[in-house]
Amino acid sequence: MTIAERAAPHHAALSRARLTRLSVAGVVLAVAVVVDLLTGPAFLSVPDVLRTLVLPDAAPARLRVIVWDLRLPLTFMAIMVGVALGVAGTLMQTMLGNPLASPYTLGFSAAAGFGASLTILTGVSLPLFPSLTIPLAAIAGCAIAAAMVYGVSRVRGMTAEVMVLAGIATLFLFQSLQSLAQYVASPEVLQAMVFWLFGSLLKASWQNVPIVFGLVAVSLLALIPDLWKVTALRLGDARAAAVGINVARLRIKLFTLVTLLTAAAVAFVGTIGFVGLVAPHVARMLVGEDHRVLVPMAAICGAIVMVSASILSKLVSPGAVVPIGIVTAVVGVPFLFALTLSGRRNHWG
Amino acid sequence: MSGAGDLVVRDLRAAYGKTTILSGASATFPGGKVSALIGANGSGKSTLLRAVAGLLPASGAVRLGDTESSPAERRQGFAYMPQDVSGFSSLTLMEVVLLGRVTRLGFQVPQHFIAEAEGLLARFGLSDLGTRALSAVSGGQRQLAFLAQSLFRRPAVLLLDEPTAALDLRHQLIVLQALQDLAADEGLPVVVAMHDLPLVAQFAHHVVGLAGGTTIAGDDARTVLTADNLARLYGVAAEVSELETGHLYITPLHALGSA
Repeated sequence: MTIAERAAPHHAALSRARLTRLSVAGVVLAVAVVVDLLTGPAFLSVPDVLRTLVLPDAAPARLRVIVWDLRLPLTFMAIMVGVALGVAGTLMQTMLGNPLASPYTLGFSAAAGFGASLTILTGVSLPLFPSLTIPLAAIAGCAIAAAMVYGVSRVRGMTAEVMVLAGIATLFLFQSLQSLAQYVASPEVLQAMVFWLFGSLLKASWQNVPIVFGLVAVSLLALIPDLWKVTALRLGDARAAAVGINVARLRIKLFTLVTLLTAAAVAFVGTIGFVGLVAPHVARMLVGEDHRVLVPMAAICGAIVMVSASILSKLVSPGAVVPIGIVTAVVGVPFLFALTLSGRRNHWG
Repeated sequence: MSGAGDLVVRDLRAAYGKTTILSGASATFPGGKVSALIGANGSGKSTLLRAVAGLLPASGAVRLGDTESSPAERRQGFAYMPQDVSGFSSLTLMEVVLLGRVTRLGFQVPQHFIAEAEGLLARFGLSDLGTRALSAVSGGQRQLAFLAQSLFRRPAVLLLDEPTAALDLRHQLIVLQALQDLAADEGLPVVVAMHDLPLVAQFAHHVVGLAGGTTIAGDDARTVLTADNLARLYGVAAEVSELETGHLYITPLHALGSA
């Protein structure tokens, strides 16, 4: 028993420490949200923004529009997308037993990108809700990719290996189709496609934020009863089955939730990379692998990265907003490096 | 749960695809005793354990005492501990034990569950490691934690696949002693798949040998561990002798046939 050189803290103390870290992360997110609302190309003063937030009716119309109709939807969208990608990434890494997995591992984002590209290329538009055409095409892309991976995996019993292989194949297929769409597009159309693929919050509005919120809320509520079972998957399939879990059925459910969350995240803002990979790792290093705490922590970490990236995207070039997908990695990588270098323990062997 | 009776397996048949693994295995594993399941690699030890645990489609009957037990009842009431010892997760040992009751935990874990799990960790000398990550303890401690997890399920039958394979001598003895105490205290049938015949001779009250998909022997260690049986089970020539202390001594000589 040479490893027991010092007594570890008691279980209850560890649980308290984890909840404290979760609360601190919540405070950090709240601060980031306020800073995000204060920054923007309109160079509003801090008191003006705060006054407009608290008393919108008393504020001048121009301020009200900028704060309530331009900035708030963007901030909400950043939070929702961060939550969706953080949780989807955690579920994906746990479900596939693979630290490199992200919401995009199984080809969902490539398929969403192809759906969007095809819509931009053909110029089709829905009769009643033209603004929903590209989002719906992106969601349809996700659904088709999910159906393909599910169809192949179902035959061989939903193991992690089969899902990863089917997912990688799907990823390459849709990447090729996406490239093909770009190749045949005219320069102007190509530019629109590339801009969509960068990922941008600028399309957020009070029309689409509630849709994303609804999808994310439904997925999270459906996940809560199974958090212990998801935790058990970290013991490996054989041990999870031995403690009474129907592993294949649980994977199917998680797979469905990841599809919903990913579709919600990419539909209106495009493919935003890295958040779904980094947020779960940061969360795991901070609070361990009890998914009752890990999932909310990954959600908050995802939101922090997204909101911070949103702030940075407004600061990079004053007066303009750089597409957020370009800066998420710039914000996320230092987080991950810092935690890796701080000597936190290895979780994956 | 005590004195549930003997575990009786009748005519168990199981296959992976077209490959038959068990072709009618029958055996009795007495309650309150440690039974060793022995046989060559690929003889079906793990398959038998998993079939008895209800984790594998199989035909045949499994009875505990006088009552026949369905696969669903066995999945719930029997504890099966797989062989795999890769524990590369940062779940704490406490969480590992709690997961034994994963289907009954609820979002907020009841305080008496935590007290019970702490008791089990203490039983295996892991009290100070409850918040240590699975990936940060030794292989022996990991195995003990999984044993605690199996017991936390309060099983009617305990089925273990090579629980001592990855352990050093001291931990092998700790685990096997714990299993003996457990069988005696709680009256459970404890079935252990094992390769180490000297340990079998010393710790198993009852030995069942598997070869060719069926059981070929089942009795106390002294009756089963004979040179003839070892030739049939493993295809080896061995010398079995009894020491002055009463312990069996097995000397493997050479492999038989062309294998």
